[in-house]
Amino acid sequence: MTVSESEHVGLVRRACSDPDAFARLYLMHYDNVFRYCVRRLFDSHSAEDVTSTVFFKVMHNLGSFDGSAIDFRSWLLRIATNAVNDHLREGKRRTEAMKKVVRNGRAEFDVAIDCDAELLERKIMLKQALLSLKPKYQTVITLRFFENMKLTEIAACLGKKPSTVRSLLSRATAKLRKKLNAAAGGRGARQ
Amino acid sequence: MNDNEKYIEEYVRDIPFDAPDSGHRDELKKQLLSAFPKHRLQPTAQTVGVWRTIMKSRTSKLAAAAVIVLAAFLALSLFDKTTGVVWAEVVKRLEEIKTGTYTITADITGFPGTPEDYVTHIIQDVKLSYEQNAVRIDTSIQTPRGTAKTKTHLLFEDRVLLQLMPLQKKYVEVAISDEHMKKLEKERGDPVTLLSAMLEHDYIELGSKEIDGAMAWGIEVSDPKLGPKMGAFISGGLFDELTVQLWVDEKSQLPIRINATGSSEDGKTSMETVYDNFQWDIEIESSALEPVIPDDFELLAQTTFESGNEGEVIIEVLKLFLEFADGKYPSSLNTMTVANAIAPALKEKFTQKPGKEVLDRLMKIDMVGRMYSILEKDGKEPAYYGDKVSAAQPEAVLFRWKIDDNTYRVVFGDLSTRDVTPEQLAELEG
Repeated sequence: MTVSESEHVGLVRRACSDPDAFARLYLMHYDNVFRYCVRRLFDSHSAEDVTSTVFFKVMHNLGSFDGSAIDFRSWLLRIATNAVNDHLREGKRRTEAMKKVVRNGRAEFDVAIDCDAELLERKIMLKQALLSLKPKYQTVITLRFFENMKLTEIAACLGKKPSTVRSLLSRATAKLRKKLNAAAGGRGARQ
Repeated sequence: MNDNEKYIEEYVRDIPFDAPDSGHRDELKKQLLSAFPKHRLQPTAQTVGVWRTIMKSRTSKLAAAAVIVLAAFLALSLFDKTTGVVWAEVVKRLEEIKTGTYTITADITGFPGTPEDYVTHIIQDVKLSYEQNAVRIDTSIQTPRGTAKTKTHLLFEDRVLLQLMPLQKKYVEVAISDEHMKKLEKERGDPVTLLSAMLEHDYIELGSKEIDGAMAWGIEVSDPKLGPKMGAFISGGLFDELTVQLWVDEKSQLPIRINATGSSEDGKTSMETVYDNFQWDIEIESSALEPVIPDDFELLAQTTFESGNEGEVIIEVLKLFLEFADGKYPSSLNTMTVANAIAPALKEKFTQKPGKEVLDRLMKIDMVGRMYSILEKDGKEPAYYGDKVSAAQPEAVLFRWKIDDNTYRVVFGDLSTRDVTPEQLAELEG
């Protein structure tokens, strides 16, 4: 579903008070929001829960949005980021998420007959390593490497300076690499 | 891209993730659409006590006022170059500030809805970001009925103020009109703009003293017109008297403490406030400023801050007194006095919970002081005689303001209105 910039702006404006327009806007962006959430949470059920939260927030706050289609994507991702971080922020949930990572990861691995076993193992290690980072680091990594956003776009999305994002990303990648290496070393040692 | 980034980019390449599920997509769409009218178009009638609402709304006003008072008094430091701090340096520092956090503690006597002489203790944690154009204030209020907590978000770019009441699972939304926002953008937090207003006030030097182990230099401004002339978002009109002391750390050249006292003319309400624990230019996560409204929170009420209809808003508030208080008007139009004056009448009138229509009208009380301040600031020459005039005097001038160069709108005791010339006004007020 593609629409022009002006159509999108008009759609956002109508969606504030017109349920049909809101539904159209929702369908245009659902997949992107879900994909972002699932890459942050590594669990489709949690991702669906957070995606729901995101769109309810969008519905609440759409009247306050006044920008272009690109701005809207940033705005949406910012809401999604906050929702995911809130979801993870509660230590209990984070612990549960970590446990789920191990549990689901192993199950995934066991049934993955047709998939690339090496890729799945990498995914499990990535899950464990990413979820053990602070949410702010998870955020920049996901936006940079999964959403393929530039620093300036991430900065716009998070409401930070590009230089701040640059610094965050640098710290985040260093930490993640260290954890991935440690995990790979651990597995190697056990095998 | 550095080595670590290249490593991560390579590592995540081709990793598979679950695809969106059309079942969830369709189910969520249904849920959203069924909730749509409730959230956007039909705010639910309020279900909490009027006074609780008024108190919380006012808290947001106080809290926001605190932010603006701070910004205004930063500007004060420009006044004098003979004191113990280098003011040009302070100004330079202030202009560079991007974020700040601080704590406000306030003791207020005569808070609406509290027993006589009861001191309401308020603690507020404030986070403000000029970069993100947002303010968040976490408030804790000790009332006779226990401790109430609210979270207030002011999002200047989104033109909205949201106040969440977690325990009640409710929130209030205040939209800010484009015109009103333009006015605010010229005023808020800008030391240079505020300076021109503050220069009109007399100030005194307080000299230096030690605060929290640091040497600080202080100045004081005391003027009943201080709040309105600051022209800030919602700082004007809370009290009739306001005195503020600003203390600047001589070493860091930044504010270290602010003491503010306010009172109403009738002496029934007073406030003593301290701002401290300042931290400047610390990192504030955008998520801390972004309001999060849980799905199960109910929209309690909505209103709008607008410009150009200040006089009409005041008349709307005065109608409450005609309707519920036997036409006995408040002695002045500062917000605290107005709220306290209507309180007993509403308490008597509403033995049961009032409906949304009444609640929306009551929310205008929060704006009344601000509206009067704007009329003053815009040179509309407002005058109010509620201390002398009641509804029993339909020929007496209760309130007036200037609507153009040669015309005043006059509101009489029975709240009827008439537009008159300056000569006619002089005769009516004579």
